[in-house]
Amino acid sequence: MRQDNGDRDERPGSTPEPFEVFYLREYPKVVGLLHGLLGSRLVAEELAQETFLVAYRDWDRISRLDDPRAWVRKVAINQRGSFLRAYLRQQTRERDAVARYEEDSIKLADDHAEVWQAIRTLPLLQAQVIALHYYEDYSVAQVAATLGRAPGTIKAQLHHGRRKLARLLGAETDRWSSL
Amino acid sequence: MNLDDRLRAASKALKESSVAQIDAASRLPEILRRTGQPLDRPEDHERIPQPAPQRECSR
Repeated sequence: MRQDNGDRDERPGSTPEPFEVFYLREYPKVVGLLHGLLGSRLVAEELAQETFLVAYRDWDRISRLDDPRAWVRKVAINQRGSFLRAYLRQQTRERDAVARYEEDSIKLADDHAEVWQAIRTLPLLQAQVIALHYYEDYSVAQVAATLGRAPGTIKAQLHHGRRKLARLLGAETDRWSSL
Repeated sequence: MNLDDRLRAASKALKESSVAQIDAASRLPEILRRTGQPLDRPEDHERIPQPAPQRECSR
């Protein structure tokens, strides 16, 4: 299991992956992660683009990190100031938009859309923890590193988040789940 | 289906739908342009490599 969050362990001896290859593979997945948290495809794409722009500007270094994938997810999910600015721009656009939802969503089956809608009602930290744990398949240690929190905090947030989701979705929790 | 299974299924569906529905290539020229290194020749666009096969990450 990986314990780092991509910020260390540069690999000077390996051949870095070209940015374009990395970007084309990872960008849609990062958009999906942000869409799961925000519910807006336009905002998710804008924020993901900003993240990859930062990555490209420092690609010589980032490409040599042990896990560039983790680096972009950490930047994407922690850019709160940018979240706010993007939201404000989005809301401005919405004033003139008539049928926004159809254009601004990644299309999902109703059951899956209902799950993500429920996740978005959680407090931000709980939603981030749930998204990283399930969407990215991150361990508690990896979530903790990505969000800059203690593993105990992440375990607690995961527990509380799951309980709230179980109530919202009418689902059963499995106490032997992935912790 | 219990909660864990629903969360994993919804996550898998979102990731697959994102890969299928999001057009990454259309935004790449803007990223390169904003860093001052535009892809300004058609032959450069054609040489953009395709993504490698997806690797599943493990916990």
